[in-house]
Amino acid sequence: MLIHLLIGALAMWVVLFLVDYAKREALNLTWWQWLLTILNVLYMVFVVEVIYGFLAEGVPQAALVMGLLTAFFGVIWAVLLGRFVFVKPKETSKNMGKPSTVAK
Amino acid sequence: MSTKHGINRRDFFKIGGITAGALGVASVTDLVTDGKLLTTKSAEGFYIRYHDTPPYDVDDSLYTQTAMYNTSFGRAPEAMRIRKENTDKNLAENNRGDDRLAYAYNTGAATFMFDQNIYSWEGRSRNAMQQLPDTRWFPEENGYTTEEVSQIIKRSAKLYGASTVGIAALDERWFYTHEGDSKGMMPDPDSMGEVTDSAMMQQMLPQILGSMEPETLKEMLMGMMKNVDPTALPANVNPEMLENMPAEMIQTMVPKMMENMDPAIMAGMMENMDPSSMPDMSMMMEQMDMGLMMRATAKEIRFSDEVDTPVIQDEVKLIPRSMNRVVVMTFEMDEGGINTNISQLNQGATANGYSRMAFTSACLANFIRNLRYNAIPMGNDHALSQPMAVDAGLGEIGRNSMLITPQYGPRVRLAKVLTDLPLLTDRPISFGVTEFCEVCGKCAELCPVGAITEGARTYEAHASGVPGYYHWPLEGDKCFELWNDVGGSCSNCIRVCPFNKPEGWLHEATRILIGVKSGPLDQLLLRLDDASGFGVEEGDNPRDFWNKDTYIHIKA
Repeated sequence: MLIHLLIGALAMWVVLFLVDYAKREALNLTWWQWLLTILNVLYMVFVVEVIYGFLAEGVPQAALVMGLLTAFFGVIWAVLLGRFVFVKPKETSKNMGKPSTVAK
Repeated sequence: MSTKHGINRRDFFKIGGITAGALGVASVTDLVTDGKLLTTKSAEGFYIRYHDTPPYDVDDSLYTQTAMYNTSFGRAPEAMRIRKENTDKNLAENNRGDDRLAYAYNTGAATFMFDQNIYSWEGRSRNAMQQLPDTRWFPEENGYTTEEVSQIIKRSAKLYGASTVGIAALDERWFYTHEGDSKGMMPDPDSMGEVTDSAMMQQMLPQILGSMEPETLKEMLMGMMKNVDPTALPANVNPEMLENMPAEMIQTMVPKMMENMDPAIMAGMMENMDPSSMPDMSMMMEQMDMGLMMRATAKEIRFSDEVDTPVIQDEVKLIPRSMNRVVVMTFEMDEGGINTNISQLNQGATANGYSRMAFTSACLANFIRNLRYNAIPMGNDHALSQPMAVDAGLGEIGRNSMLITPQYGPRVRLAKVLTDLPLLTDRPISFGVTEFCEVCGKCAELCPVGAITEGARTYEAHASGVPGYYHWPLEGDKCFELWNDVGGSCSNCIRVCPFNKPEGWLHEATRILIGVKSGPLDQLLLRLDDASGFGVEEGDNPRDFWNKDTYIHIKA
């Protein structure tokens, strides 16, 4: 039970951190960007629960295989979100003068 | 892009998303409303589909009822001898899982498995502290509806020890044509001493005695003769003569003599025999052809409108046609035991299931009898349990010929109680088992003796089965041969089945994916099951068994 509470608390902390980060960085995220972010966090909770569930069941091979499989998509999703939603591109000589890639 | 009178691109996607979501919900709702509103349900879950007729196909022109003695237990004359030899070998080798401790554990688990009286056709719970009237109890007179009584019966069965319960209308086709005195499953070694049917003894004894070791036979006969009335013995037969005779000669002579003995003299011998002087009958069991005993004691099973209560006569067992409801129960077997490699620890899970079957069905039958309705508790005896369980909405038949339940997969044993208590029936269910078994075949691939069909379903059957039922036929004789060769039994096809998973949301999610008409997804799920290391060739090491923390789930 405690482990599930900890996983939930960690997920909440990630969401709150992202909200705070978006404020600090003055990111003006649309509703669907927030939706995708929340879904990604929930998906990562699912991944952790899958790994924990199989480990608790005593089948480490299943934890490894299913963990890798589910985490693969979750990590790609998170990287894409980070790159296109949360990280402002640095103003370099290449993109100076071009419109910002940060979504409005 | 926005327009005053039309819709912009963003709104278009919003509407599209909402529509897609609504369609998803609608497709799920379709499963729930697939069929009519239920009266009662023995299994719950939105991925479970309920049917008006059972989801199996029987060709009545091919279907032939069989006798209990035609099952594998009655088709292996050498079974008990081979089993004993291999048991002795296991004990001598003293390996964990097949050592004395494991055999003792398994025998303990089987305590009620062979209890002949527990499956009695007559009521046996006469509580001296609580005498109940001999009049029949009617639900409507006491403010109960049939639906409530059905629920009460199911709840009681669970409280007595069943894992899941369903009720079906009786289909007489599932009954055996003949059934012996062996109730529940197999003959009881302890009850052999009570056998007084001379005709049966005459049929059985020559073969049993002829197959015994000469010295053992002589010793046994000497013990038997100690307290027999000399006048009941055939002419020229007396204990002194037997004592002086070489054992080999006795072995040749006695079976022939018994074959020709007047049944009345045989009956006299049996009646006059002092039970305390009887030899250890388990010794006879070791030599016994179970099929011979099953045939010798077999009585025809007949449904009749002429009787009000079940009656066992000399040649026939009469069941009133008014007994048209069958309460079918599943009993979850311990996951830790079943997942252990072939051993006595593995068999202990099965034996424990048999004991719980006996206890629970006897309790339920006595509950019903105390309302003054008829009830016959049954284990594996008298009728095929699997199709009855399908009728009662407890699951589907899988490739391994076993009932696959939504809750425990094939890791269950089955018992049933036939009754005339008015009860509502459950609706048969399906949840993707047949479709999944079509692509899976893991049980067939990993069966140590190749007893399970790897190909397509058929109406044909092996010698121990019944033809006409569209299924994957199981070669039960091979199965039973393996059991005797290992001095125990095998649960490999249960262990490796992808439906044999513990409780939990992870596996529930997989069951949902299988149940929701997944089609091609079944292949992917099977690959994931393999990659995750489930259902591999080797089971768990018996050494790990006692440290496992598995237990039986009772869902009351």
